[in-house]
Amino acid sequence: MKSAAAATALYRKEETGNEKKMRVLVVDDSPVQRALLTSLLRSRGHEVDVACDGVQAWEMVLERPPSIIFADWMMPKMNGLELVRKIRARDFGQYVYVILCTGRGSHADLIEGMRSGSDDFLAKPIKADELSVRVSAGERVIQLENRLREEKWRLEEANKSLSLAYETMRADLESAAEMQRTLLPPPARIHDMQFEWLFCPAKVVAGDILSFFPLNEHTAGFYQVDVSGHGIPAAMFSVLLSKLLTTTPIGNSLLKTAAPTPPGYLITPPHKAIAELNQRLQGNGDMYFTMVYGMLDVKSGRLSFSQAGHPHPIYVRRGDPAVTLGDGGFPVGIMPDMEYDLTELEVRSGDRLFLTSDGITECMNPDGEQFGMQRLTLFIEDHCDDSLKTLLAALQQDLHDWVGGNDFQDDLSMVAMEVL
Amino acid sequence: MKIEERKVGSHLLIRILESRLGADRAAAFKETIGSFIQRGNLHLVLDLSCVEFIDSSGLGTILSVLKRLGRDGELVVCGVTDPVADMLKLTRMDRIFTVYRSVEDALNANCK
Repeated sequence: MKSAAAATALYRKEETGNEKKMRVLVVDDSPVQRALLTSLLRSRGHEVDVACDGVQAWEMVLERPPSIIFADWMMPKMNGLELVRKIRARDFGQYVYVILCTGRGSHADLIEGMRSGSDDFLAKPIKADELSVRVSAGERVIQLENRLREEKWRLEEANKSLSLAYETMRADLESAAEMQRTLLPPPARIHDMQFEWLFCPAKVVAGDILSFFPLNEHTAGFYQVDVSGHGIPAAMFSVLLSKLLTTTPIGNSLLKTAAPTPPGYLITPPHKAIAELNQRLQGNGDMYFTMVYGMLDVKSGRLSFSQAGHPHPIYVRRGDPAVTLGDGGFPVGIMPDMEYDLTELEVRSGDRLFLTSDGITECMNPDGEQFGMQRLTLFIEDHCDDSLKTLLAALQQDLHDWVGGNDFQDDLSMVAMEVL
Repeated sequence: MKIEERKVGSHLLIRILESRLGADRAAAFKETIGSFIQRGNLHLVLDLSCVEFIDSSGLGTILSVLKRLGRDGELVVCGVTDPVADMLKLTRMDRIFTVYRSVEDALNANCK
């Protein structure tokens, strides 16, 4: 779809057949002058219309704006000066180049004429060579304007294509984000353990991923992963990881291997699972990830986990202060042959554990202050009487307030679990 | 990427003048250090006294520098502020390359 102005420009070109030929209007009450100008202009190849006075000229301009007008100053009904003023007062969608023809040659007349909007002067009696050069000047201006208008139209079309491409990409990204969200398990109760989560990607898709799942009839596993960076590359890597961190194929997954003796399988301890994952995921350029992988055996009441360069898990027993657990560890995917520590503790009903990504602890307010692990730990302690769901909703709100309405710089995610 | 560098013996002391080493600076940082390594500087002392914050991309860049130096090279980090020291401890990077609190300690220990 072309804009009206662009259409006019192209119409002008098509109509006149070549760039140099223009539509010129000659306005003069003297037939001799009209005839003289007309023949001179036609010999240059221009299409010439004539008008006998300002009023007729104005009507013709309204109907079909010319590129150039030669207007006599002294005319009855409406003189050249008034015609110029009327032309300049209106937007025709294209430039109308006006040359005032006059026997009046005083300095004051020149000033008045140009101030009204006239582009140039042609002194009477008209000399052919002077007419020629002044028309050339007008041609240059009109040609320049045509080129600018075409350029503008081209830019508008390019802009439309870009907007369309952007919208398509944006839609694809939203689909990817939706797909990523479906990989997250719904809040669940697994073997007397309640699991909830918080998940807010910074750039539509996230480099964070989390999950929880049964490992056997009395053990629940859980993890949180944070891939370095964020956006699409991190998101793609996180999807790959989510596929590796499952209990399928049965008996032959990283988390659960087949065994010859009953019960026929072995659950890989967290620190061994991460070490194996590290071995398998070398050579991904600068990409690496941090994670916490852990499990709770409700029969023994033992919680165990391993921490790989990830923020410390936060543990709270009702009535006690919340504490951070773990002693750090290497991120995964940097160097092979790394060893990871195993942390174990006895848990009982009412105990809660929270896995956080650094998007939360490093969340900055407009003054450049980080939300911090301490503030988060205190928050969890203060909300120990709220349900996990309520706590997470309140935390999300707090973080929104913390950044003061700006966008989050990094993905926010948290796994919250409670022993029932 | 604002950097100051000077040679101290066989080591190249690189002082980062930015307060944040994040995703937006990571590529520039990697390129600059890469050019130093290409010129034959294999013993690097990284002065992070001005750096208050390093994110996962920033750390990833330091690690890529380490990998690029390889067996023949050496990377030492010094002048770490508290937040950076905490992060290096959490990720146990202090077991992969030596971290000194002060620049003087790093130079004394390494540049004789």
